[in-house]
Amino acid sequence: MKRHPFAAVAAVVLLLSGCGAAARPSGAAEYNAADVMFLQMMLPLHAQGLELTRIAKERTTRAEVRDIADELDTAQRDETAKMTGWLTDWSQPTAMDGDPAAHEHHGGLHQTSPAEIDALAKAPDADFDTTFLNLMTGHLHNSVELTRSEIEGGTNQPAKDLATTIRESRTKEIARLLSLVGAG
Amino acid sequence: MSLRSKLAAAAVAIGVAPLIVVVAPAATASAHGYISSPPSRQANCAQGKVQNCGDIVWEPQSVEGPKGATNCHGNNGRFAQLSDESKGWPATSVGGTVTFNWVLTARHATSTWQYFIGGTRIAEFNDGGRQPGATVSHTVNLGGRSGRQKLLAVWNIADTANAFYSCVDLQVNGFAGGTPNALAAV
Repeated sequence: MKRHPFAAVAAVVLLLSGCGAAARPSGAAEYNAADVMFLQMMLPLHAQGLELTRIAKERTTRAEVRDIADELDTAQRDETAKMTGWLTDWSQPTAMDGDPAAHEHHGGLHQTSPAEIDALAKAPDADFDTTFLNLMTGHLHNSVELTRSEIEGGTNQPAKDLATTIRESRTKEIARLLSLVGAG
Repeated sequence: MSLRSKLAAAAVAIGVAPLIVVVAPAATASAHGYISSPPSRQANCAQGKVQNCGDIVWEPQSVEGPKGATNCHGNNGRFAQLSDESKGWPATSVGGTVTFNWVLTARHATSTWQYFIGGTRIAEFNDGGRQPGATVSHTVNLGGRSGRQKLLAVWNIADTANAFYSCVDLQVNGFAGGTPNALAAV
């Protein structure tokens, strides 16, 4: 986990800069709050997605399920590297400070929680694929939903392009997951 | 979910509050759940098995409307196509008892899950305000109905006035618990 060093950087940035925009080095990439929030929120979603695909690759016995788990695994790894790199280049923390949990009491947290990941790991063999397909589909819907604010409000072109790619490719993968759960 | 408040928090956190006017989303995102199998109407739209479904293709989980609606779009005008009976919705062949699987994107505290056919409630599962677990599925006896049936499933949220709606088109084979293949094997 690289999260802890970056969290420390975050604290330093918050302490030192009353105005992050002004603190940006001249000549650096243009970005705004939507770009930063999109990356900071997508990174933990991808980490959760990678847990789901890791478990699926270990446990599924269906070739089609393994194929899509492999594809999602690769895509989420590549995207994680890109997103981490941009935040680092911008001297921004790679994690938000606790805020996403604000909704949790209502069950409104649009993430895949450790409890769900654990339930997948422990799902009986007979239920495994159905559990994975439904959890992964919900997970990808949340990824797609998160791209909307970036596409509408981001200013950094590479980050906006990534959001568009995620929106379109995950929507296609959702269609495949749904066809697999329907055929289960 | 309040994306707006998260944006505001992010803006404050990185000290670019003046830019928030640019990034405030046009609409509050809301997304929560639907039936994935047998495929609901929104699941068929998301798979491209039914064309010209509108926005639902991107967010089949968002059919949220006031509690008590009796149509497939939950009185949510953005998704009125889901109640368009001329669209040729595919029906899944089933026996007399069906297990419905849900995809959830947020696990809201739940009062009940209800299943209706032709205005009659055929099943209800009371969660008593609990949050759903990792997966949700319900096995429902169709009460001896046969032929083509349109089932309406309703997920009633405990702490809001809203529910989520999902219609599933079924072709009921008229015997319980089996499939044509299983019958042939006997």
